[in-house]
Amino acid sequence: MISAYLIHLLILICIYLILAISLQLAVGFTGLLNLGHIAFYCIGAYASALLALNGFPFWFCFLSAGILAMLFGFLLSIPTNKLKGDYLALATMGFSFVVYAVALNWTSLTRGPLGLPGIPKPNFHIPLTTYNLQLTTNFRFLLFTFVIALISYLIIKRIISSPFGKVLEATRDDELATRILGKNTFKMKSLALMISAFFAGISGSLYAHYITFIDPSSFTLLQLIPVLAIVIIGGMASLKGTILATIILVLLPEPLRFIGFPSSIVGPMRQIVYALILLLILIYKPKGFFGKIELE
Amino acid sequence: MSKATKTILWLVVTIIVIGGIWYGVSKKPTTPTTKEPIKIGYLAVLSGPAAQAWGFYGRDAAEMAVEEINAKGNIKLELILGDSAAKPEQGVTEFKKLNEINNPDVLIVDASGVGSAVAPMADQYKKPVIFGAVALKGITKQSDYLFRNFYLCDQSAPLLAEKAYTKLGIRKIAILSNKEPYAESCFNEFKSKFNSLGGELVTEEHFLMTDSDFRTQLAKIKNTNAEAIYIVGYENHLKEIVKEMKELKINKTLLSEMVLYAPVIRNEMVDNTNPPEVYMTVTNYYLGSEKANEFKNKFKEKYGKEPPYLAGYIYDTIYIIAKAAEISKIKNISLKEALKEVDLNGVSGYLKFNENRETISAMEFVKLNKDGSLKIIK
Repeated sequence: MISAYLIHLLILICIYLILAISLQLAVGFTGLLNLGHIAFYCIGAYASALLALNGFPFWFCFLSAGILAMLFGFLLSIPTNKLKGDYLALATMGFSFVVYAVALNWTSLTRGPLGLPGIPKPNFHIPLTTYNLQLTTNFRFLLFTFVIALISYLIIKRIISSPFGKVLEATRDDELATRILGKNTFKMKSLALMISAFFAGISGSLYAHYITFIDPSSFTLLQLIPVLAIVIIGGMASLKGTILATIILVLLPEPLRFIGFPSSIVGPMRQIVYALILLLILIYKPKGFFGKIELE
Repeated sequence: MSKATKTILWLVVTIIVIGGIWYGVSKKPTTPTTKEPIKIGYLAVLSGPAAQAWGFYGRDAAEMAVEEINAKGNIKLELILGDSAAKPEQGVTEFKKLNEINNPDVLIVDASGVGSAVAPMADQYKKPVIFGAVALKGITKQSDYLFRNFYLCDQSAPLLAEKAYTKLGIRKIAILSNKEPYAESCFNEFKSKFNSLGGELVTEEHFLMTDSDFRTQLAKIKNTNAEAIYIVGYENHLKEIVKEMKELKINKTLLSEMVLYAPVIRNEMVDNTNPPEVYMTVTNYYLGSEKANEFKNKFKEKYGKEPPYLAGYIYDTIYIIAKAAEISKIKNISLKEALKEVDLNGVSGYLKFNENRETISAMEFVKLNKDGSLKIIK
């Protein structure tokens, strides 16, 4: 019988994997340094939670989370179209602050800092049958999350190996040249951001229905740092690197919980050791595990 | 080294890490016997901004209580610390780890967000969970395994609003509160009661956990016709607010929860040539009770700092658990049932779990005197 603790870690790996590979699509393959990715995660989580708490079926909440995040991805792509590099990073960071502020202050909708407790676990009705699939146990939820993570990975892999994916990489490497060749780079970047946002939204939905409680503190800019670290350490423009980095970075803090640090320093010590290990990885592998390009 | 070899090496490292964790979690936990110590899993806040504000005090108080109880010899306790950093996701991970690996007999959980996230898991692990610094109303109703020993915002804030309206004659108020669960709960309760009495909320200003400058909000409040300001936040925030009020020469009456009476803030308020009037709601902890003073002196001697009221609650919680362990042994009942029978004259006052498994601390409406002492206003 696999321990609930291990199942919990595996679920987190699947959720972070979806979040990370979607960010990899925008950052690694399209060259969009999107620091607003956590905002899409937040939008997905809140959309799914609010719909579920108002009695909508899970599949509707789940898809709505992705679609709503995708819509915001499109809206974000319009004003940021001409921005590059640091300027794009700042603009998208501003977007994540706006979304956080809305989640924190629109108390009549989101309950602000009190958060949304009691988010129901997924409950599907299987079409053409009378059977309801309830993901009330963590093991079932793990299987479901794993399937979604696998589908997400396959879709994104298919996208990047398609002609569309090649255009995205060309846009990343030299946008001007790509435009001269007649490609509509604005449309390409918008689509990449929208697809990236969709998967971030559905990972937010999975997170909300798993933890069953969300509040704005789970979606601050600080929460983007581990996801960005996964993308960088895994290697830019490398999906397999992202998978490996997700597994390692989600599991890395766990052995530290078993080290008997004195109680006076246990909290900060774990953070210090975690940060040191990340630094060592980057010193040894500055391009990440399977990096193809530098982060500029 | 070839690419394939490197890939294989990293895969081996990953398998070893996963295998190590699997081995760690698959070790069967020992079945507790009466000879073993009662294990208390304390999911504290040991990192992040909340740790400095109150998390470390809770840990220190728990350790002190465990030491004292073990020294007496009747009951042996073992404290196992976990760190949630006041984040729901980390809290859930640590909660599962504590239950699965350390197998405690009872758990204490701090922080409202973490409490909300772990509450639904209480029935899964079937171990009593006592909420420490958790201010959310009705959180214990989710399971018979959930208890709370902390003061309730829906007790203190309405009392403060009512006394401000009836005793002080305040009709117009401004609120300055932190955007986090504890402060938001108190803010909602205060606002609701004050409005229901016919009072007017002139303006509400908010700040974030990480904010350290409140001049903008205070300047806005100064320019209103509010007769008083209700402020709610953590020690570090309130200390800066009181300092900046002095700087901006704001003399409006100040209303707050008992966190305002923390020593660092108290000194700031007393050291003021033209101080505003300050009113609070406080428990026995700040009203000169012998037990509370004894605890404060022992804590100061051991850790070199005066403990705030939160430390008193955690200290009492450990004593509640010890008493429940004794009752459980004598009556041969579960620890959960024994907790319901405990009553304790603690440093926070008389404590007994009610039908909702929450302790209700007696509260008084008080005024801060110029010398730093408190005067009860009946």
